[in-house]
Amino acid sequence: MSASPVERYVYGPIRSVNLVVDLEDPLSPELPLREFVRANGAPPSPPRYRVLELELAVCPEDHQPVLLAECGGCPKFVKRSKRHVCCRRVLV
Amino acid sequence: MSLPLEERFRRYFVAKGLTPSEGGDLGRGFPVLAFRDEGRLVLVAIMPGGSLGSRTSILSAAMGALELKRSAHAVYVALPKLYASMIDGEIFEERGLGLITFDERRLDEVVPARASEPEAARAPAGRPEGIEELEGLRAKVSELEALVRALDRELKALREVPVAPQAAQDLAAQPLSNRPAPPAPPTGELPSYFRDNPWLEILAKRGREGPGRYVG
Repeated sequence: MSASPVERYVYGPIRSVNLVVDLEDPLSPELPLREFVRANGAPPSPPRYRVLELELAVCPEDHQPVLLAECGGCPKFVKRSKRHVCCRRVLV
Repeated sequence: MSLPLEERFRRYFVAKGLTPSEGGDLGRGFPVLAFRDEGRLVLVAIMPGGSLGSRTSILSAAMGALELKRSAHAVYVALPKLYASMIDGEIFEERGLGLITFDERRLDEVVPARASEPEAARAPAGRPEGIEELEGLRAKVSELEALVRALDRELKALREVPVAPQAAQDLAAQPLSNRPAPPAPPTGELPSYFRDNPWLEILAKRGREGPGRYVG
């Protein structure tokens, strides 16, 4: 009789980063929204600028930063809830 | 060999003790499976990975699944894991929807569905809002109508009964100028030569004249 694996769940916080992308100048550096406003003195306005919201978390397996969209492809991802990502960790 | 997605869900719920049932709705753009659990209807709305393109479309599909709650005791939304990473599970918890994530290998019930009575079953038991208040108002109107009728009858009866003799009513109806004058005071004590005598008035004035007119 084989022992079933013991699972537990780990939760990690989700961090959101708003990144400003210049659609007309590909060489312009992508800046966080706060830094963009500080450098230009005004918020980004379309159609030249677009604000991307990146959702990041720290992977509980390798402790590397990952996009939440990457978590969707991980077999250990369970769900996201209340600004946290829930992952499965197999103990045995 | 991998099973079709719907068959995987069917086996998953059968393993949980539910029995497949008719009643799934295929007209919503996504397959809906129906199961019975001791008379309770459980619906599972499956969002295939290929049909969803954005977070907004996922939310739209989830809200469509929310409509299913009107006709079922419990509703599950099944999302591919990739899309489950874009939506907070709290949204489903707050609305009582269950969430099942799936990929090629496994299904996970990550948010259990909250059981509730479907609206179709609730409607006959619970009366629509405002009916009791309307019935109360109708009863009060009926009471008031009966009271008004009784008061009307009493008023008519009071009008028919005379409240004073006919002479008093006639006197009250006459104007003051037409009424008979009261009798004059008696004048028979004076002698006859005093009657219509102009000297009486002259003599009466002499008694009220001042003393300054006399020289002395």
